[in-house]
Amino acid sequence: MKIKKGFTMRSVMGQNVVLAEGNNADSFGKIITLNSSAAMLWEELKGKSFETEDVADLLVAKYGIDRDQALADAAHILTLMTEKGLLEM
Amino acid sequence: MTKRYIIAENAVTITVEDDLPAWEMIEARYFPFESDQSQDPTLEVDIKCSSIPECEAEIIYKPEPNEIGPTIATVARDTVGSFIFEFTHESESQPRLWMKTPTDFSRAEIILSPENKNDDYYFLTHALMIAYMLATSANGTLLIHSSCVVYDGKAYLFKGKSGTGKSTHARLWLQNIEGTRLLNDDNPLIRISDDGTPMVYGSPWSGKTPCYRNQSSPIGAFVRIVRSADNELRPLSPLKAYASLTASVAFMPFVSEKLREIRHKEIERLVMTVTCYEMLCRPDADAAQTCQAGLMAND
Repeated sequence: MKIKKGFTMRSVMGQNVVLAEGNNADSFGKIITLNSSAAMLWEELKGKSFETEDVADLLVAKYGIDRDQALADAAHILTLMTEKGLLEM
Repeated sequence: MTKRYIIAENAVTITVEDDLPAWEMIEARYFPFESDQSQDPTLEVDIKCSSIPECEAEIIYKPEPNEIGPTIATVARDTVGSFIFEFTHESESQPRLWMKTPTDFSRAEIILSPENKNDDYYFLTHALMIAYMLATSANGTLLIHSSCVVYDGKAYLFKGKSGTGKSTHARLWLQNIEGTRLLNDDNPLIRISDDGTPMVYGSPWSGKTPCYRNQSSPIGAFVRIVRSADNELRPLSPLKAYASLTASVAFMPFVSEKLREIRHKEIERLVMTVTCYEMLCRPDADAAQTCQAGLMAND
């Protein structure tokens, strides 16, 4: 999977957010706040193709959590991102 | 023939080949902005009619299907990095208008196809607006898709998705709120003045409404128009305000990170100095009155 084109992460008023830059009517005015781990993942994953395992690897490397926990967290984050329309398969 | 204009304090020169029908159709929109000041131009435009040039260029941007209006512009970069725009009518295959701008967007060379169709002026208007928007993006000028009224010395900008009723809401103010006037109905310009005051300016681009005013006003509020069964004005949180503004301020996905950053910073400054609202409304007189009363109460 990949992060959809047209979304940019920025620091806005001191918070990490993802928003659509451009004239995409579907995402008009949409803004999604990211916590620090989601922001880290976004930075690492943007422009790349990845699987749940890759996301888990990043979480293990960054936060030193065990692999099972990382896989569960990765699946959870990717589900949220899919629900928000940020990912394409 | 070369004429000088000042649009939102940016000097623009436009040089046009004699007797160009498309320009003659829209020239009057630029009359209010004519100026004899000798300020260095931010944008120099040259408009001619000839066959559309063929040149070696790599396409970098094509509109998404949901962005397609009657004009379709593809953007390409030639071997020295200049941007080449081709504007094509949605039901035609050959471009009507070709425009080339250097990397710093300081000039725009526009060529209209020699067929001279009746609606060529529409493509020319669009190209000039894009050329202006790109040339002035480095100094923080923002082109905002909105309908803008002035009431009691302050400007109120109504924004929203196409078809939600921005112009309708502006018209309801004009009809029901004494002392309201229209500054621009589609694409006014925003600049934050040196003393930090966000100002809105009329422009030669006003959609279907002929309202080309060379006037400016401090901004009172941004109001996002949302259709609803009831009339209610609600303030937006700063983050939502940012998202709503960023969706309405013109943006070209191929510009440099530096220009994106300038746009972002200017929008952030606007959010910090101007209150943004959401107006849930019907298209009726009470909507304008409720909106105005709410804005004045929070002023």
